[in-house]
Amino acid sequence: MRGDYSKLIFEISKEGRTSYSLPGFDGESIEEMIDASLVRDEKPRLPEVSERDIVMHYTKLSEKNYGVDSGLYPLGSCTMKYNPKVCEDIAALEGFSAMHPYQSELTAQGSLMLMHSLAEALCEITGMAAFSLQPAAGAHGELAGLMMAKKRFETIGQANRTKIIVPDSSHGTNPASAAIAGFDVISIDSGPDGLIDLDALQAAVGSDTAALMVTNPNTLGLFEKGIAEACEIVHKAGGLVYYDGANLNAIMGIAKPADMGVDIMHVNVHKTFAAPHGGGGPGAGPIGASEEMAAYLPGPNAAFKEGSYILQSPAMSIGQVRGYYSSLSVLVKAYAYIAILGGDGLSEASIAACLNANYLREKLSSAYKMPHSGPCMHEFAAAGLLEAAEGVHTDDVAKRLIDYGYHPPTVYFPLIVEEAIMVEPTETESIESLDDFAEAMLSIAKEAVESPSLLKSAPGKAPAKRIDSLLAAKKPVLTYWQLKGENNG
Amino acid sequence: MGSYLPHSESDYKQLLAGAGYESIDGLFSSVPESLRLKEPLALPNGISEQEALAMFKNMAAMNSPTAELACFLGAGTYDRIIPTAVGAIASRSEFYTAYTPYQPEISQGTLSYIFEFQSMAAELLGLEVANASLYDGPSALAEAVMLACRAKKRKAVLLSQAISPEAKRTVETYAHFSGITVSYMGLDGGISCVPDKGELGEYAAIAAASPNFYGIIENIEEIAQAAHSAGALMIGYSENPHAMAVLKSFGSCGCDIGVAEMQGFGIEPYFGGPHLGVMASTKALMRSLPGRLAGASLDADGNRAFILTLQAREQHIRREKATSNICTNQSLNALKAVCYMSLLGPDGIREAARQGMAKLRLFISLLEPSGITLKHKSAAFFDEAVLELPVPASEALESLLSLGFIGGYSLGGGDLLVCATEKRTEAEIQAFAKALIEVCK
Repeated sequence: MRGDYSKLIFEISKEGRTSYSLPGFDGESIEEMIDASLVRDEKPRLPEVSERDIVMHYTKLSEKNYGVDSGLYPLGSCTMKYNPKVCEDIAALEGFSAMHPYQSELTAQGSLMLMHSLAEALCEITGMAAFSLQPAAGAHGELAGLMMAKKRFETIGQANRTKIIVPDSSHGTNPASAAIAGFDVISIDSGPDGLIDLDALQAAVGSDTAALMVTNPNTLGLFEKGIAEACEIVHKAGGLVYYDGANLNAIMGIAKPADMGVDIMHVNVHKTFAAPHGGGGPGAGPIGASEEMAAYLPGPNAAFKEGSYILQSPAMSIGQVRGYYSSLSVLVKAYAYIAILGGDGLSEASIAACLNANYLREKLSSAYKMPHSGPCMHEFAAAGLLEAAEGVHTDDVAKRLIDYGYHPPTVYFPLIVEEAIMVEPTETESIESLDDFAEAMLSIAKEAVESPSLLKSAPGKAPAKRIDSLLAAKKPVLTYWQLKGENNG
Repeated sequence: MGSYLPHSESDYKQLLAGAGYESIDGLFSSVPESLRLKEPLALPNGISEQEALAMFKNMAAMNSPTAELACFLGAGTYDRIIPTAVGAIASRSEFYTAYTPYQPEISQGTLSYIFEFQSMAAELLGLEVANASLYDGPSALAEAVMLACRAKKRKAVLLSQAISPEAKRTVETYAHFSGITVSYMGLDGGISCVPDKGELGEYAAIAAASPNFYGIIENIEEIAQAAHSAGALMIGYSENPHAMAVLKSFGSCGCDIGVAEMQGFGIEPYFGGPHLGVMASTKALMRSLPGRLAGASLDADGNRAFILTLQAREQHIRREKATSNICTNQSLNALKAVCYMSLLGPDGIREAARQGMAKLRLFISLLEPSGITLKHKSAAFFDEAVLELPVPASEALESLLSLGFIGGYSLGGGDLLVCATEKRTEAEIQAFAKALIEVCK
């Protein structure tokens, strides 16, 4: 990784330099076509750069980045597994990419067939009755799912069910989605074993309960042993169960959420089915429903009627949560991955993901606190170092890992584990890769006692030294114009 | 079947032993027996890479993409020229296999281009700040409506009817579940009627699109004045922001918030997604913005560096009190847009916009002898406009398709929304005019 280049594209811009290549067309000028009062006074201050300089600029910037292809990326709860290259080629097929969403269905049979087939595969993997591919991300799926719950209760005359129960170990998106869907959030504490406390749940449910949101395996990487009982408690109280499928990678072919009693769930296909994460997106978060809830799914969705594929919305649909139908380029990669692995391959991937996590957990347990007993599923949360010099924290371990050439695990999440270090190696790491990472982690643990300054001053070998987050928040500089002290707008 | 697992038989044994389990079953002992699947997944067997390529090529061949049909359909998604270098840069795996830049020291590539994107989007929309992107234009408009309701502590918004149907439906869904009332302005000749001050109730915001769904350039300045006189925020919306390089920006028209769908900036139509939403605002609303924000800071050596900032707004810190539930942005698409804007530069984007406008006008002039005319004759329009056909538009579209054209968007009756981007050639325009005249006979 190289860190000696730190320019912005604006800083290599020079007035009058161009690199665009458009076919010639005379026609009228802008002023001849619309009234001068509508026209922008000055052209926008966008970069004026040659193509060669642009490619160089972004190539140099890319060298300051760390991706899955760069090395182990054990970012817990994010499933940073290897992204097969063939899926990129498949997604790039012009027959898929150059399709306008308002083309007639007759000219889009391939896209619609793909969407329909993927939805069916997701039904088989999760046991749900139907899927909508609309949501653009996991959190977007949560929001759609909670809207479905709300619509159902409005429909059956139980609009008084306004409360969503969320375990304190949940993803932050869960309570945030609940609030945006117009619900109140009740948080319940997990038990000492890191699992849902069924007594606390029993005490929390009532006639105002709309739903329980549950992640399984949960954010500690533990399988919720009592999930079937939890669903029963909520159902008895007249509520629904929403299942955050962020961690589906642990249980493909092992167990199905529908069998646990779940009513609505989303799947982060970019995590489970190896679509690359794109530096933070685009992803996709298809939303699944039980037979009873399927009518409320967002739409339109692909359906197969009288020999051809069409778009249609479910009878009681909540409506659209975005423009058009899906984030299809992400979904193509996910479906290609499912097709290549097949049913057996998916199960094997889950087994290997869990095996890798347990192997690594065992290796690290000599130097890192493991607050819960195993086995874990596809990831585990350590509670910081067993032993360290004063003032050495999880963040320091993470930054030191960068010097060892690794992307750090997720840190300080889940919030209920002090000094949390969430490690998810994924199934695509070899035993040698796991051993090397463990060696680095153990060596850092030793340094934490013997030479803590190495951790406190880390990273020393990254493109940037530790970055001041307080300064960034105190005096926000969000554009190049603000950086130069110029006004905008 | 293909597999991406590295383990050999002996690796499995070693891993199991190292993990302290005797069997795979033991590894899954925390999954209650009653929930364990007894049967394998009923999915087809895995296939090789070669077979997968063939399977998906066959599926893609069932489509008739815009590469085969001349596309005069816009309506919120645009078939524009994408420079080759956009794809070349976006396919660098250091970019596309990374995740959200939680560890800024090894994510300066992502953070730098997000900062560039925010700068370019803010400049284009004429506002002080912009976020790191949102899912798409329609959901971003819904987020803007919710932002306005939070900021103004009001629960109603007034929308232009000439906002795209996708965006209106999305806003309506979000609004319904958030307890926000959506009302619509009147429409006259394809243009939003600016409400009288007396008619304006307790709205948190007024939102209008320009160019609107009919390709018409709206008087955003006048609507913004009405909004402000009623104590509401003004939201400008565009699904065709190439116009922003040519027309007065949302900021200069007095908008507090500018929302855009930027698919036309280097991103494939891809049957509707993923596209690229963005929200820009005045500095006063900065701390209420949804989604990620990259900011400039310093590293321990005093060098300039970028980092995700103002995270106190976000779900992973604030949970149910966050400004939005959004976690994912459209980072890779933002990179494509940044590359697109850099490759075309200010002059190239204006030239692309001019060519679309001029090509549409050429097309309309070719229709003149046939009597097919514009529906909104006095309105100023961009690169898209509504034609009045003597036959039902839906039937005309079917006939045009058989002649090799995606002819536009039927608005019902004889109304056909047509678009010409810079990508349409003069020959295509001539042929399309001829075909349309023919099918209208």
